[in-house]
Amino acid sequence: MDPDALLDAYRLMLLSRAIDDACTELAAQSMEVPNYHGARGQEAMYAGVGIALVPEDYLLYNYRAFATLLAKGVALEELMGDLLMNSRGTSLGHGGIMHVTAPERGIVGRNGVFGSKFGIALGLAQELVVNQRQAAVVCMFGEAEGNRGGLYEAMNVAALRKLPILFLAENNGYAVAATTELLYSTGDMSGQVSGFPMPVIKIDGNDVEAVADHVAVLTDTARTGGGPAYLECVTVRLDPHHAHDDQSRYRDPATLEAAWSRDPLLRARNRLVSLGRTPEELGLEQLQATERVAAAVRAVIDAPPATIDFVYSHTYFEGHGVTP
Amino acid sequence: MSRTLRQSITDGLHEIMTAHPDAIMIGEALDTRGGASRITYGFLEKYGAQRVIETPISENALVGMALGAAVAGLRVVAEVYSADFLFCAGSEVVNDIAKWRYQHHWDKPLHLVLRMPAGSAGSWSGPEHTQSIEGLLNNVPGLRVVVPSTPHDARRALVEAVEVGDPVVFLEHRALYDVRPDASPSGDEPDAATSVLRGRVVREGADVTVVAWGAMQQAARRAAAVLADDGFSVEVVDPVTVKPMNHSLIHQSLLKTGRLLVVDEGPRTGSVAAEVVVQALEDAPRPPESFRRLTFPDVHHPFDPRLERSLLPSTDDIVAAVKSLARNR
Repeated sequence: MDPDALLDAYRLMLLSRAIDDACTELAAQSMEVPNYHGARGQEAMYAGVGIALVPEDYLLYNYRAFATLLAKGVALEELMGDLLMNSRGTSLGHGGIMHVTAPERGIVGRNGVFGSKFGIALGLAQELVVNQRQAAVVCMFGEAEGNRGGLYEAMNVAALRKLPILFLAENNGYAVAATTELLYSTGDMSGQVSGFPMPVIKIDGNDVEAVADHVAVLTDTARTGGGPAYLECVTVRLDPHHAHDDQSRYRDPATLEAAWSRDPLLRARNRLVSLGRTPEELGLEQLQATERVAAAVRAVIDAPPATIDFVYSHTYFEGHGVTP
Repeated sequence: MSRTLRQSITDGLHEIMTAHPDAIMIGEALDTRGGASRITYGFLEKYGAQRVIETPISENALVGMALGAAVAGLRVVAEVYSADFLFCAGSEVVNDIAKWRYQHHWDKPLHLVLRMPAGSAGSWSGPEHTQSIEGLLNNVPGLRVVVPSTPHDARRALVEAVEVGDPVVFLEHRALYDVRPDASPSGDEPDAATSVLRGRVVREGADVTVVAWGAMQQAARRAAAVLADDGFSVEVVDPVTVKPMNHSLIHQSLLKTGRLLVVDEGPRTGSVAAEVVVQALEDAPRPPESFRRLTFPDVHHPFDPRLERSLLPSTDDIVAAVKSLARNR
């Protein structure tokens, strides 16, 4: 990867970490950050995916994928508005971080129940086929979602029809509280789908360069008619599943400490230093990320919440109850 | 030559696919056996494999794909093999499709129709291939449920459903596939400018308002003809769109009759019929002085058609119910 692209990816990772720090701080002040799920430990994967995508690509994201969403064109203020579930978010305070909506940037939304995004990915891909557009669908999911049957149905249809979909498996070691080994008969995610006639690849998801390179190659193949692929990114979750999850109940301190030794931010920083960046300029980047996130929080924190009239007007098209 | 309801749906699909290059069809065995109801033979050859998509028996993939394609701006008519199987993709329908507009402040139309055979054909089909699912779906905001009862309405309603802008569950009654327009006394057909989906009064009358859809609408029309010979004047309402129903149509009729009978093939508890009665009692300018429901009881459809027939509301049941309401002044 070219060093400038790596620096771009590192900036996304820093922003993602700063978002986590800001959300943690807000929660400590008893501010509601509804449905916030921390991304600490997974930033390399999310940034690597993000910088490999083009604006025309569809993204079916996961709710921790702050860096991917930013790379896809969601503004920092919009993302904070979604995390705070207010009217400055892309979902105008109705769907929040679980339903980031920016269709003009390829983010059509997100299903609210694990497992149904795989079918949605098929439909998005079919639109690309019908309209002969050279773009791909990137469908990101974790261990919990990856055990729903819809994945296997969708992989079969995607393979049958050579649809332009990259199935991107985020293996952070846990489906909420259960380890991957406990829930996958092969002990990992990609082993379970290795029989499908498509590239099934497993990589170190904390290596931002490896992630970006693989996603770039596989999406490029998809965009040019080469069909679907499945990429498992092995990463690490440093946060609890969400703010109300006590991970000490299922993760002993030594395990968590070992996980922190895999912090992708430190790894990307060391890599940049080895490529000639100075610790001073990288420190400045970190400060700037923190300041940008703080400014975004200030800009949206007092925004009004959603309004009830919207709930009525957005149940049926143009607010029509009875057919017009 | 008059077309059956089955043929009319084929005609409607051709109308949609021809008029809109962005229209696609998704379903099981669409080409290999014409879909669930021998409706879609020849479409693959005519419109191509990019627009006519035959899927495995994978309802999560099929229904999810329909949503994804509609969200991406295509016009989608997906076929589910049986209304009873829609629940294989229950989460897609109830959690994703119905809520998509709200959760994603979707201001654009969603051109999405899920069409499927429903109701009882009375032919040894058992409890999982006979259900009238409109009662279950009636409790899900965001969905539309359309149940045509004549060949003419089936074609028009299908074409309109694709354009209405909301996801539509389009229930094709199994017992009606081979009815022809001339096989039953059909009401005045609305002119081309009037929406079929809004429903209409198909027979005017003064004594009792009868509301029914699907196969029960056909039974209601037969009953009205019998009752006319006996001196009873029945106003028959066909809502066509069962959810959200055009209740004002019924309430207008009640201004004349003051009596309401709702005929519903679904099980009694939580039926659409119950909702029609309650809305009339709560909201009609002239609430019905007397009312009744004819429904399936709260049991399962037996395989044996002789048993099943004894449980389905019949033309005779409707005749008797109307007479009892009309006498009960």
